[in-house]
Amino acid sequence: MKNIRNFCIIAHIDHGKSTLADRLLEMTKTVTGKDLQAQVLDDMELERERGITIKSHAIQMDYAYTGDKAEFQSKEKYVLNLLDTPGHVDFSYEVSRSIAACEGALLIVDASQGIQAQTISNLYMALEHDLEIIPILNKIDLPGAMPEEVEDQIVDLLGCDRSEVIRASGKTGEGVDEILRAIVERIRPPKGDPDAPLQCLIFDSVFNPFRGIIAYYKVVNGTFHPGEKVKFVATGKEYLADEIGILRLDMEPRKEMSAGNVGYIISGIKTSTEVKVGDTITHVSNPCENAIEGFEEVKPMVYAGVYPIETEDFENLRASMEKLQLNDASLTFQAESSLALGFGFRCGFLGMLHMEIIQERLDREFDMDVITTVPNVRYNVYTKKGEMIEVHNPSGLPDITLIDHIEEPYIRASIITAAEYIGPIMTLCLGKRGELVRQDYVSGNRVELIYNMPLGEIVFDFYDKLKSISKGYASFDYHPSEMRESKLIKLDVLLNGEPVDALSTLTHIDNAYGLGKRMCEKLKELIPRQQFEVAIQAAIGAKIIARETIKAVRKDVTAKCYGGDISRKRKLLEKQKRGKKRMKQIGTVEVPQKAFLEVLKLD
Amino acid sequence: MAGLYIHIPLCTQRCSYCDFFSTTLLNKRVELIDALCKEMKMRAHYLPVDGNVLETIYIGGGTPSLLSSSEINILIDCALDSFPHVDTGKMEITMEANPNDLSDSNLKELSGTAINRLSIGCQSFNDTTLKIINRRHNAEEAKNAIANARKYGFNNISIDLIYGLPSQTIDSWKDDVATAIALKPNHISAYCLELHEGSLLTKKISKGELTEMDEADCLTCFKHLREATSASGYEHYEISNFAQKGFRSRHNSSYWHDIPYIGIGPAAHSYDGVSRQWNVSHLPKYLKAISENRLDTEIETLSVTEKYNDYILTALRTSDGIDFQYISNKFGTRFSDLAKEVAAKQQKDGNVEIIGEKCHLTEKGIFISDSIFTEFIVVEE
Repeated sequence: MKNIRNFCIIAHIDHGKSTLADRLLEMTKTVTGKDLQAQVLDDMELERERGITIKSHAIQMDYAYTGDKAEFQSKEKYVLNLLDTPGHVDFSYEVSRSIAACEGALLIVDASQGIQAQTISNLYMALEHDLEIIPILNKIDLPGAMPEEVEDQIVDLLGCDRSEVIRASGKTGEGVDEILRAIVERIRPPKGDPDAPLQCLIFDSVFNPFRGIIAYYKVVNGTFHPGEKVKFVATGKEYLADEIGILRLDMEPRKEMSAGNVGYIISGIKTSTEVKVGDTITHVSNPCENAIEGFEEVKPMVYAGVYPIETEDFENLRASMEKLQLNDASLTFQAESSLALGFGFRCGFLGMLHMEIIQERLDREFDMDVITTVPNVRYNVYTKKGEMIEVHNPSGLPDITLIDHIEEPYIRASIITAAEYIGPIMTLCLGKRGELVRQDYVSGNRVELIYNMPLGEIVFDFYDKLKSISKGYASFDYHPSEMRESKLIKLDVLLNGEPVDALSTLTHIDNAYGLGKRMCEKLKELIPRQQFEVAIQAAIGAKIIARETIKAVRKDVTAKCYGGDISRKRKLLEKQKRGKKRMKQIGTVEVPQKAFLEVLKLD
Repeated sequence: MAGLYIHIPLCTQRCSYCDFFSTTLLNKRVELIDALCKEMKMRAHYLPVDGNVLETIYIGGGTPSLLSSSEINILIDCALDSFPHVDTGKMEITMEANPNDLSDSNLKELSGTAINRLSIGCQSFNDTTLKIINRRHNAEEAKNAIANARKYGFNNISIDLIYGLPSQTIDSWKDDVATAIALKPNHISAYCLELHEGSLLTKKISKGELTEMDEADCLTCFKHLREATSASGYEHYEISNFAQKGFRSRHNSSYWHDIPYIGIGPAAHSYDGVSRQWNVSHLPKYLKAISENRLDTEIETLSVTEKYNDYILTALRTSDGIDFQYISNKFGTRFSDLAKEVAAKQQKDGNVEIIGEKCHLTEKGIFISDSIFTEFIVVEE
């Protein structure tokens, strides 16, 4: 065990985590040039394209120590387990479980960007778990690098010595050797008792079409072997360990896995929801006394309707969602129906990025063309009879006369930015009903703002706006804090007098008029002109609070159509027809699918 | 029957609304005439054999009136020589002409050719408007051209008009229509302005230097045009075409009735009933290909669905409209059933009128005809 090192990487998006990880794999000859697709760990096409890590990954490296410190000289190679974690706020629970499985972390900071909010919050999480932090200043080869300044930030933040910061470049390979030595020298080997009752911490799972659900874990205590009966504590389910082993570029079976190591288990699990991140695996015959601390049932933060464009694709959509869920247990869905959109699903997501990813995967991997409605959060609605109803869809709200009050989820948000953007950011947060809790100088002119805000206000266009008003120099992180009573009302949208349930939103009473007006204006842009006039109205109950009118098309005619124009004209009309087919008919009005989501992207 | 189109892509200057293929490379003219003749020989067997003989020739452009009468004779002689045709006396042979090319001397020469129909590009009788669209003639020249053409024996005269142009008003359009009718052309093509990407007018309008007529006013212009022409005995037989009795354009009608045609010259299109093809839209490339005894052309073979779509977007342009029986025979009942269903719905909205097996656009339908075609056409996934 003394030759094992388990570590993760904490970094902000684009700070070069995956590239640096690739260098580690190359340097330890875990991958050869032939296998080296750019960024080995991000193996989903989507991950590589977006430059983000969506799923956790783990990979084991063998490393012959090259340093000069006598106490680390060893005949055997060191076993380095890298647990790559998603870098996005939507996945912070998964990150916390990966961190819990490690003894150390590489803190990677882009030398041209400095420390970001997401980095800080994950860093705090790592410090809470008592991880040894190895600070790395990455991308020092960039012309815009400010190594001195960013090093100051790191020293301030960690209270470490300047000499502890390693300067590196994933691109040129500079500093990578030093990082490997530091991993061995600074990170302590895992503790844990190989002879104690078995305790394995699950930090991720993947779906394999031939082998079922494969769980990734760290053995915290104990030892186990293939063929033994194991139990997943939180679900209470028992399985036979068909195959266990370590994770290299591929899975490598082992006859034994014992305390300190990281690996996989295949046990014929068919349903992804049976493998919960944070759960404990133990022996059926000699179970551990307590499960590993920190397990939580992950609850969706954001809900949205997902509907097939063609009604007959409903069953195909269900099959696709089921397959997606195999890979991603955090996705929840439940059939629902909408007057406007027909049959579809109300899906629960961890956050907005998660929602986008699911939508894109449906499109790419399953060729499902779907309509996604405006997302909303979970509301607790208390009726006058004293019952509490959890509402995931504004149109599922009980009649207004039956409602006593509504609670909505609040978050504690951290925004780190340069001082010059504080003004506009505060205005933005105020408009989103944010309450400033604290304002701290992190270092230099970098400020951290802490806000209490309704989650419902940030699920939509908050990120985009924050990015644009700060010219990209603001980072954002949040954690759910509490449910709070709010004066929320349902805002409906009517097209030619017909209410469109899929466009209903819950909003704070103070924002309702402004929102209603802007939604009507936006829909006027989004809905193409039709052969008749279209009235767009926003209403609270029976009261119309805003209206826009789309004028009827008066002229849509090709004046000349002779020999040469026929093919060209046909192609044009066919293209229009295809566009029309992708529209949803609401009453007599044809609405483009994107309108259902973009209606709230207000400027 | 069949038609022959010969494209003369030459202009001395470009009209600001035009996106047709033309060039001001007038020095290529001799080479062009040779190439056109050679292409006719190369396409001598293009038409399907079963009774497809030429009944019409249309020399368009560009500006064919830049050609001399001897050049025109060469082209027509070559055409009659290359393709089977009906008796020349029974043929419709049209040439497009610019009003200021129709001087006495030119007309005299032209009257000696086989051309028996002139299509004169008047566009407007308002000098301000003519200037804005960069025409090289004025209103007076246009009026004289028509009178002169008659004098030299042309008794099948068509004129082109455009409405919806910048600077035009409903009133100035009414004047244009009145002037046109008073000149008693046998045929009027009146086009509502279309702004094509790349035309000078489009650029000026997008820069805000000129203003397009608004949709409601265009519609008013269209309605007035219909009323005025109909009161003077013209039949509105296609979206933009009006004819005295017996004077429909036979050549253009073939495009709307699924009749084969041969297109000669750069950018010209041909149709043999099965596939469409078009020559390269580039004069030097065209000339080079022909000189190497090959055609620089793209071919598109039509699926049944595409043929049906073409039928919809051409036949429905005409006052004869579409014929469900024809659709059923030619494309199958899947298409005729669909067409009937769409037609019934469009009739309810007042956009088409169904009479027995036939269906045509109403006045209301004509001005939004593209969206109605879109309802009828079929796209394969």
